[in-house]
Amino acid sequence: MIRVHSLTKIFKTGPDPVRAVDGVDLRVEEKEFFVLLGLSGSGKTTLLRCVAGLEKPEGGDIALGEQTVSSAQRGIFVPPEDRALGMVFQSYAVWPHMTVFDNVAFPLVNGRRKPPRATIRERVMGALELVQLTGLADRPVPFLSGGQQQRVALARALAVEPKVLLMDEPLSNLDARLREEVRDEIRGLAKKLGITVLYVTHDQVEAMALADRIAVMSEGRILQIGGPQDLYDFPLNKTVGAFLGSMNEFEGTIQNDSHVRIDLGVVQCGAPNGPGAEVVVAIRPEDISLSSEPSGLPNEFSARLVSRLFLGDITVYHLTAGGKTMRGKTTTNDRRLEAGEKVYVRFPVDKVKVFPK
Amino acid sequence: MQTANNVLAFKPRSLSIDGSKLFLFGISGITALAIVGLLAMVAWMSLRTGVPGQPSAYTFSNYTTLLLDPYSYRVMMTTLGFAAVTIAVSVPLGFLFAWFIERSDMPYKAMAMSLLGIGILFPTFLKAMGWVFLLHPRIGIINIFLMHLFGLTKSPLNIATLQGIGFVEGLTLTPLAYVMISAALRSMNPALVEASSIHGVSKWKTLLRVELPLVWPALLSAVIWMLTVAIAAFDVPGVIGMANNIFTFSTAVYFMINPNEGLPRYGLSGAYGTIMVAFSLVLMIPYFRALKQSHRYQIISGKSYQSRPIELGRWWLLGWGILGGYFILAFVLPLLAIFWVSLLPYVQIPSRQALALVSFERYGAIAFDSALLAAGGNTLLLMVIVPTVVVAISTAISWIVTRSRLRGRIILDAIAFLPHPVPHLLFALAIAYFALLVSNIVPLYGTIFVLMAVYVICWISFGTRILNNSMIQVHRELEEAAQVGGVSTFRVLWKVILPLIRPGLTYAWIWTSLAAYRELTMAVFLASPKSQVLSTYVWGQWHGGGLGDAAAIAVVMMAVMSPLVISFWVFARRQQHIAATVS
Repeated sequence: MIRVHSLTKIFKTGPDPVRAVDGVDLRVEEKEFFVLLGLSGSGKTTLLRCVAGLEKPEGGDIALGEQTVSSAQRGIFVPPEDRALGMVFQSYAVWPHMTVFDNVAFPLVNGRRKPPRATIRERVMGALELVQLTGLADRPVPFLSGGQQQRVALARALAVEPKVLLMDEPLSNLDARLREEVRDEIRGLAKKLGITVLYVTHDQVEAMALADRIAVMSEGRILQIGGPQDLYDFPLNKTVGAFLGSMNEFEGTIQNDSHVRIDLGVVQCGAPNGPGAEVVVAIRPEDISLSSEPSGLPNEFSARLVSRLFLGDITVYHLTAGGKTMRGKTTTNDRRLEAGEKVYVRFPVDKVKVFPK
Repeated sequence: MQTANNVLAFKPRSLSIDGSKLFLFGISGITALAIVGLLAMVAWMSLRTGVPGQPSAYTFSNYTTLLLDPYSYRVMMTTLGFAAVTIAVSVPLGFLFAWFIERSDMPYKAMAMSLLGIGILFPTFLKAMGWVFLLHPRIGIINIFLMHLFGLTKSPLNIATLQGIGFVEGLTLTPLAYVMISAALRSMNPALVEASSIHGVSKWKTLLRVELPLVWPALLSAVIWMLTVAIAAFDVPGVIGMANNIFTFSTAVYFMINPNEGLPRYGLSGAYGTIMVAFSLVLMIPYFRALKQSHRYQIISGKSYQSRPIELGRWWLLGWGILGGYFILAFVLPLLAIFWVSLLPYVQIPSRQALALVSFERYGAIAFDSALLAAGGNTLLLMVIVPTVVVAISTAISWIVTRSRLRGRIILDAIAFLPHPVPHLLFALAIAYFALLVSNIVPLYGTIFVLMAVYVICWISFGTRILNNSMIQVHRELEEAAQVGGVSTFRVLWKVILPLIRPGLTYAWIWTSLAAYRELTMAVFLASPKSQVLSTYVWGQWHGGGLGDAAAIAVVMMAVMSPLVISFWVFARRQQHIAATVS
């Protein structure tokens, strides 16, 4: 549905030009919910704005469906109003001089893809119903709460029945509780209406909750594309792994194709490079298993429990072993484990990740 | 270094009234009283007849005279017509420049902004003089040139008309209109426009239905503000209009106090003044309403980014053409005319004969003019003392307004703002009246101190606008941290706040100093032979018929001012105070 080929966008605002998007290739399938994840300045918003037609790329092509909408080489640039898109902005961008109804109706009345006049009211009310705002249709938007303005923006974007819906951190201005609620609604709506969504966020939990697939971006490039679980369990490199969740990292040297030596001892795992190569071994806190007695399974090391922190749904353990500190996380709170005592930590073989250093 | 001993030596402060606070409240209170007092003085004098100090019954006769005299209505119509032409010239030009600079990809924007900013810092009355040399029906260089060229018997253009002075005033106010409108364009959330085009609405409809309605309140507030400025304007109507019997409110008031014959008519001028005060204050209601509306449309949260500028292609030449044309008209031509006239024994158009007469004789002569040197000394004195006092008092007021929990602080802020919309000449008028009233007790009238006082009072409004803004940006906890440590209010102000807002203080100081240099309006109301300043000296030469000498002094004034203006501009740009520069 969306095809992006070696896209490059350069900003020349400062003394040095910045390559905000640097040769990105991307393919979003029909009806897919696709999330661009990255820190601020990673180029994810710029990429989205290039797809929208709000930025003009210096290099590469963008196609929506069968139509090439932007090609620097061939000199094609379709302006945003002719791309048949819907978009939700971070600041909502609902027009403060109009009512809720007028905000949603405005693109239908004035836009390039006008539906028959008689159907406009029906379409607006339909869109408002989707976001549960039917009761507020005649309210001027400055009198709405942030969450409600957000819904107006969403209704406006849906009312044009876009082929593709673009969303630029739409939840970042909402408070935490509301964010979760709206997040689930957005995913539900997208799936119910069967639209293709390109969604930008810096929040990895949001990305995982929403996405069919995620592209992790950094410094204008895509580091990895994959489903939430693939990215979480099999990150290609340390940056992607650390970005999706915390990891305990140990520097080590490969011994043979299934063993790496680290400070704690020898870890059994899949080793990609040849013997002698320097690598980083990583394990997520929740993958570490903890016990007061040794189990006899592989990859077990003795450690000292520094503290146990009960946080309600999870319990966090701070440990030291071989001069290194690490974190463990469990959903059960084992009261038998006391701070200061000797414990056994085990890294299950299939959970250990090895990255090039 | 804080030692344990120092900590132990700490004593809790006594609960009695903090002396430093009392001091700050004191000077702010006196200043506020002076502002309100002078405005009350205008109203009071309108109810009396005769000269100040003379016993007089309270009477409405001044108002009846005003209302029954057809001259009053003529002045009112002239003023409104003048304001209308001013707005018609400045607002469209300001909007065009704002649009080219903020919305398009026109090249060399920084230079465009500098041209607009620097142009307005030079004295308006000098530019007005230049226009007389260019377009006066008898001596205007362009007029004579056109008459020669086409063999005309009558001069084709006349600057000494209502349209003429409105046009010149409009040119000088264009940068101010530009600043107000571009601020609105810049603060508007670009996503509001993008949201329209992305959902399929054409550029033209987006401009008409989204962008324009959103900028409209800011545009309206700019128009209202221009109206108050035009009503208060004195320089252009004074230099060009007065000699040709075109009177606006401000020049009419001046003429009543300095009539060609007979006694000054303070009572009547007070009645005019009261109407002007009322008018300018009433205008503030729609002004603030429009401003509030436009703030509602500004970006509230989210990242601020610039929307993609509109690609002009070859049309950028049009933008620079208008801008360059404006700069030549508003600045280059009038200054060249002044320079040319200053080199000649009498005004004539550039020709081979004229070129043979060119000499710097006048410049040699004015160097030995002792009255001019005295005026220069007075100007210098004002340029040092006025900004220093303004910054000191503004600091006290802004501290109370932004920092204290005093109940009346909003009122204090409103009073400090008053001299902004109210024409400055009314403050000058009132203080002249006051000085005459007390002249038997304190011989203040005609001294440089009266000028000093009224300059300070009028520019407090500017100083407090800048410093309010600076102080709000200093987090309150920085101050509280020092207070918790037992430091007195005054020391907190001196050691914590002032160092943090130094750029704002410097900016306010230099701006006020430059303003003292170029000020004409208040000075002509108050300067006596012993308290001349440069601007009044030029004014005196101008109206005394010494056009060539006036031009020569004007050139010297510009030359002295140029380095000051340019360094100020560089500083202001670095401090991002551009928006406030020309207001």
